[in-house]
Amino acid sequence: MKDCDSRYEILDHTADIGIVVYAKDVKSLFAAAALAMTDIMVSGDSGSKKKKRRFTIDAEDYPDLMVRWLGEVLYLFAGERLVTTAAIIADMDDTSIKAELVMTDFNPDCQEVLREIKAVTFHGIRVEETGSIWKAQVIFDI
Amino acid sequence: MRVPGLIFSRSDLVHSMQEDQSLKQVANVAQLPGIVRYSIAMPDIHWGYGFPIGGVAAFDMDEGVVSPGGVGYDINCGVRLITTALLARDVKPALKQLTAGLFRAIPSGVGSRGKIRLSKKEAFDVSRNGASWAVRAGFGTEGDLQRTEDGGVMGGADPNAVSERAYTRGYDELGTLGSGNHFVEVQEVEEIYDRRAADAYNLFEGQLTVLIHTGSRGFGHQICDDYLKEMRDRVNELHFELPDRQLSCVPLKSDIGRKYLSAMACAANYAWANRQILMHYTRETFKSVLAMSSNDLKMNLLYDVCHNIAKIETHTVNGGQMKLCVHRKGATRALPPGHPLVPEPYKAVGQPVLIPGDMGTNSYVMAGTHRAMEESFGSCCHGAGRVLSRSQAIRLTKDRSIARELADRGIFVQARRKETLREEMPEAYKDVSSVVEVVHAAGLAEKVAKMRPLGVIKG
Repeated sequence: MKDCDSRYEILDHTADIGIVVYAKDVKSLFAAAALAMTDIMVSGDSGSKKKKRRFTIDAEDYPDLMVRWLGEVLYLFAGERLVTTAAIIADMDDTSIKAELVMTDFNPDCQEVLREIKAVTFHGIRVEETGSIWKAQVIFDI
Repeated sequence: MRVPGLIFSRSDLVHSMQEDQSLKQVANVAQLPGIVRYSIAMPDIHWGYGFPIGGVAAFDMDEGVVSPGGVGYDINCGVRLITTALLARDVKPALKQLTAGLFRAIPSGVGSRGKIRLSKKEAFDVSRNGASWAVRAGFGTEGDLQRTEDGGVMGGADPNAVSERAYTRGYDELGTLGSGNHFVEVQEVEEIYDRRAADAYNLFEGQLTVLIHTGSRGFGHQICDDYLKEMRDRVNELHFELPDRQLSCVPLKSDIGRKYLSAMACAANYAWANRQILMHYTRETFKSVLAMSSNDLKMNLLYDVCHNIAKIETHTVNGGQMKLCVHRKGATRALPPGHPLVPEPYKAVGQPVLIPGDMGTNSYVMAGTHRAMEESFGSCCHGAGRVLSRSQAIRLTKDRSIARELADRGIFVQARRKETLREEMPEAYKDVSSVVEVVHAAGLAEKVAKMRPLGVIKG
């Protein structure tokens, strides 16, 4: 994840694994969370042709939105073997997100699957603004 | 709490329960509508999503609920034990070759794709028919089905209740092991505790056995995820007050509740087909590496049992018969001698209960009891559970070769990635022996045999 305005850390969890993501605003936070999850699932870059997919997700609140958003990124990888390389958030509020994901095909010859994530969970989910920083915590079932 | 919690444990295991909030989860489950008698925890209880892992909860069919979190993401994760006519000491010279052969034959590791590509029609067929689809496709024998829980097929499956996304994930993952704690393990029967039951199960000291642990792969994960989402939307409409969002549930009588059970049955069937296919690959590998015939190897299924499921069963409650939906999440069905669902050869001694260890510790075969029917809706423990996080395990194994350490103990292991072996090192898990001792002492199941690992493939 190469973005000076955002970063992430691995969260230690006995049975599973999580991420804590920091960003300057909520749009960057959601984009950074998508890339952080991809980062812990897959290594390398296939360099294949970029594909784009646009979608809108509705949810109850920010935590619900984060779980559903990352659920899309996970499905695209687990189901369609598409690795997210960029996330462009066009518009969002606490119950809706309009975004475009930029992806490349997974290529097992030059990329490695690092971790099989079964699901994005609600356990310990947090999306909050602290001072001038936005922070999200997400735990995955692996 | 609508009912009390009932926890099977002992003093040295209680500490970890208190640390990881799993006791709180037992209490949360006890608050759900229609729960009957107790919210039960097995001695291997540890924290899970909504429901604890190692939890059992039964719900009244009229007033009760069904919850995907009470089953888990890996629907019908389970184990299957294969017996052989071989003595471990005779096979030891070929053990390394055998382990390598299994590793080549069984697609494993994160995101592994199998050798089978299902069409939509075939995926529907697998969803409806489970292990019998696999047998029809040439992966095993009719005899295998008779020694699989429910004959390897769960009734009520409706392939139309499964999303396109789940099918997309399931088309090429049938016949794969997956990753994490899933494994195929070549073992030696080290000790027999109950000679009569062991005879019925065809187990003897020094015998070579194979244990397979896996589930419904991405197909099941997606079904759980889809229905958790759908139920989260419905919980608000139903005005259920839930102490934890992951406890999302709906009435068993509701359309969505029935639909989930139909989709869950599809995943259960996919898992039974998966384990059946992996057993076929195992048999073929043994034949090829040891250059022996099926007749000489006698690789027979002892039993296949699931430990993540919700089932409609009839139990005695307050002296009367009651139809219930029993959720077992990280818990194994344990039926007593004489029960109509116990396969005929085991009728006199009870259903085999298979308790896997990890790649460095023993696994156990136990037998179901009447006590389990009285106290835990015919349920028992399922294994051990982690004590160290993956990061802790990686830190602790810096500069160590887990494969070499295990090889020094006579255990050959193979995995796609070295990190998997480090994350899954034996010290990362509780010792399953203490869990087994508790259920044995509580009378939920009786010890029959102990096996030790010789060769392990991990995802």
